[in-house]
Amino acid sequence: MASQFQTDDKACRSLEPLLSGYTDNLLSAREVWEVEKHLALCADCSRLAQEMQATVRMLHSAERYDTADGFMAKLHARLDMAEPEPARGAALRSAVQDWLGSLRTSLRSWHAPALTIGLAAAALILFVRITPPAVSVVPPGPSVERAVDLSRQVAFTASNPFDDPVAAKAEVDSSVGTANDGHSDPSGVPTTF
Amino acid sequence: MFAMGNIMHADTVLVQRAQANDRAAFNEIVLRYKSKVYNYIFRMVHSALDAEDLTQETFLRAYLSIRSFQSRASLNTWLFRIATNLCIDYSRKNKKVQAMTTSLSIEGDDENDEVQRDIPDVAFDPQRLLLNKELGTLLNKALSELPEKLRTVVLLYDIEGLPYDEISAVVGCPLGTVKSRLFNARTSLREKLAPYLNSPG
Repeated sequence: MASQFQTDDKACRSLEPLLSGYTDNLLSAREVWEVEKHLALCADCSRLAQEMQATVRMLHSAERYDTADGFMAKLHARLDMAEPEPARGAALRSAVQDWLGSLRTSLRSWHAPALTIGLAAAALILFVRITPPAVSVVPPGPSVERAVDLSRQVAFTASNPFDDPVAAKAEVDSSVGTANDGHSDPSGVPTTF
Repeated sequence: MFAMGNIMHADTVLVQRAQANDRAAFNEIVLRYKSKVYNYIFRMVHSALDAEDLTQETFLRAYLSIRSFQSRASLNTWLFRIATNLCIDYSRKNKKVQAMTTSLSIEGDDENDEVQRDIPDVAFDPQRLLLNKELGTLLNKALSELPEKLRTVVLLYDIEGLPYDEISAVVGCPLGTVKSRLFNARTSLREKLAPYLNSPG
């Protein structure tokens, strides 16, 4: 298998994105092997790798800054004036409770009777409008009953080896008419099997 | 790993107590994270005064919405996300002022020029030289010149030590974007600091 990294510009460009991961030891064993094989042959990439490592070491050792004295006192003064927000669920619960409370209060006030009458009237109108019309259940029609009977007759006739079931079925179909489901032609022979 | 587990557990307990209006628990959270948050914000905004204000604002916002915090996320990630959003807002508001300051400091800051001349070009160990304040100044300058998106990632990864997945949650980008931004940031820093990084052989 050909090596992924050769000592040409293309190989160098392929290696460059791996230098960051190589510096952090985050490459797979194979990638490390490929990178180190290339670095051993390419002085430019070797220098880049060393510079990348030195840059990262600098960042890791960079000076750290901290808050000034009095930070906590100042923060506590601001926190004293603030009130934590309730959690989302609690906020919704609280809003619903507030709304119900205000509704209760308004119902207790002087216009409660008028509201009650209004609500009752609205409920009555809705009841009248929404009540569904009586639905009549239609019993199976005579044509359906007849079709069932004739099917039984066909089955009986078919069980008799001396009768012609096809002729019998044609006779039944022509007499039922309404039982024809479109699979039979006028001669009564099924067009589909 | 065990220590990290303990820290996480303690964070969860502190958050639960803070959510139940325990100010002492919230105080403990602030004491634990204020240095990290301040250090990050300071390097994002380059102003001690503004960094102090934004750090205060970060913890104030955390306090106000602590009850909405869900413990499946890391407290560290949550605080850095608040801080990052504040830094972005700050940057938008101060973009013009900041651009003017940067151009002035690059073109006419004699002190910076002197710092660059003073850096020795002989062999050196960067870690040892970091004790030298001047090299620290160079690093800060290189960091401040990075685009904000690259700076955020390199600060969170290389300075604050957040893993890729936490950075991805803080900045709201896929993992691959975080990795490529980190690579670009490091490459840019390496190019700027290269004259001072070359070792002999």
